[in-house]
Amino acid sequence: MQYITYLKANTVEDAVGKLHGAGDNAVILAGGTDLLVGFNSHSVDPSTTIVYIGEIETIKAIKETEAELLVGSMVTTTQLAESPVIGRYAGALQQAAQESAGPQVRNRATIGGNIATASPAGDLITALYALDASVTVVGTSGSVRMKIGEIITGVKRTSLSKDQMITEIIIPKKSPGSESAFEKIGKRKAMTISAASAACQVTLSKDQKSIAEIKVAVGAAAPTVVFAHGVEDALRGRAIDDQLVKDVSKLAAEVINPITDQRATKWYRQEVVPVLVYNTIMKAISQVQKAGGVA
Amino acid sequence: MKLTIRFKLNGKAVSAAITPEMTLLTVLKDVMLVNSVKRACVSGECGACTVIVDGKAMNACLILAMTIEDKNVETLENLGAPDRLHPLQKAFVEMGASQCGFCTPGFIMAAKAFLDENPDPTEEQIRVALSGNLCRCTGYVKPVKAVQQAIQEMKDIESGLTPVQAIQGAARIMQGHSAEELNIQIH
Repeated sequence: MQYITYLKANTVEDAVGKLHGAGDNAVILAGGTDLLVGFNSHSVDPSTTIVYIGEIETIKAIKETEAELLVGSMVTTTQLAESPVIGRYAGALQQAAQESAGPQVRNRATIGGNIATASPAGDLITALYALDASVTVVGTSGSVRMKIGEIITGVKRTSLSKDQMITEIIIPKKSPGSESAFEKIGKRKAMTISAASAACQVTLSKDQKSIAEIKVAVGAAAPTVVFAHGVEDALRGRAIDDQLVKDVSKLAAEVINPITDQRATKWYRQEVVPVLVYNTIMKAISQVQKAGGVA
Repeated sequence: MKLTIRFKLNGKAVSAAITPEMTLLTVLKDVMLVNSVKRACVSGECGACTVIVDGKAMNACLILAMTIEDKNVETLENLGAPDRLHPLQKAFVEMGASQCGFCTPGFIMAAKAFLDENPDPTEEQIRVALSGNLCRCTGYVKPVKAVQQAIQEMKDIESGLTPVQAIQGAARIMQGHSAEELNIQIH
């Protein structure tokens, strides 16, 4: 009987070298909370070469510069859920982390894995779109930085080549007067895969009476996370008005392309997405107002 | 191709001959013959295989065994024995927080990892800590109450009181007072 090959990488360079050496058979193992579900449900192709990146110390920390948060790709969902720095500057990501899966999975699942898995229902990625995150990808041909939307190309599809790995997620720190929020809905509260999710980042004007800038992302309602540009355009520069936000949130239903699956029907997703969008926008606005505009 | 992994199981250095595609669940259950770890959903949904790895509760079914080289793995066997139960085990028995018992080791290990980090949690925090575990018999009220009772007992032990002393202490306080004064409700 032939078995898979298991290789442990000690550094990013080591991992890239091992991935390159394994060619088309290479599979990166990070937290494994998605990969192992696949291994358990059907037999693994014995030609698979696993490259384990979980012992690479340089990609396990959350750091900050003056303008950015630098999140290592092996940072776990638990770390994101508990980090004060993430809470301060990337509220939507922290809320998504806290609502993702259950404690056991959060202790193992990683931010890099959530991106590379590219599930439309990934909670962290919805928040990362709204937070305008970028991703550093390292491969044999060097290091590149791209927007999260450039890396995820479809349902469980990415633009990553077999010898590339995600090393870092870069999140611009929010400006003063700005807050982000995340909301999801599923069949129950814990351990639920999102039937739909929404995240936004809102920047209010100095007098806190109008919306200066806004980004809205919707998850689990199209092959990838999508931006609700119609909602953003309809609110940018407008005075804060609960009814207006409610009305224009309906525009989010136009950019999604939901399917009917075991988690929800297409009709339900079309109905619930505007509600989630409205809720997150109002939540972000009230958080800015509560903070008194001082970030 | 058999490989050897070395790790700590319940404080003891162990080694196991495994194949590279094995999960920690398979290694614990089928190679090390650890009985408490349960195989159920094998997809990280139910928590029945919960073990503690380096202080954190994790689903053994979602861990490739090769990755636990040099790690500390703790299972229910490390907590107590029938004649000297851990406060969590004792509380699960006393509260009836266990019916068929299949999910119980997972619940207790999730609770243990959580209480090691948060010795004085709120009920809501306990509920979140147990949210990765499914029970199809008793439900979730009794496990939560059991964790609360275990916390109280651990506090009593910490303050140097044996359970008997704690009850005697309570009895002394109650002496000479009516049930009404003490707000005691008799069920």
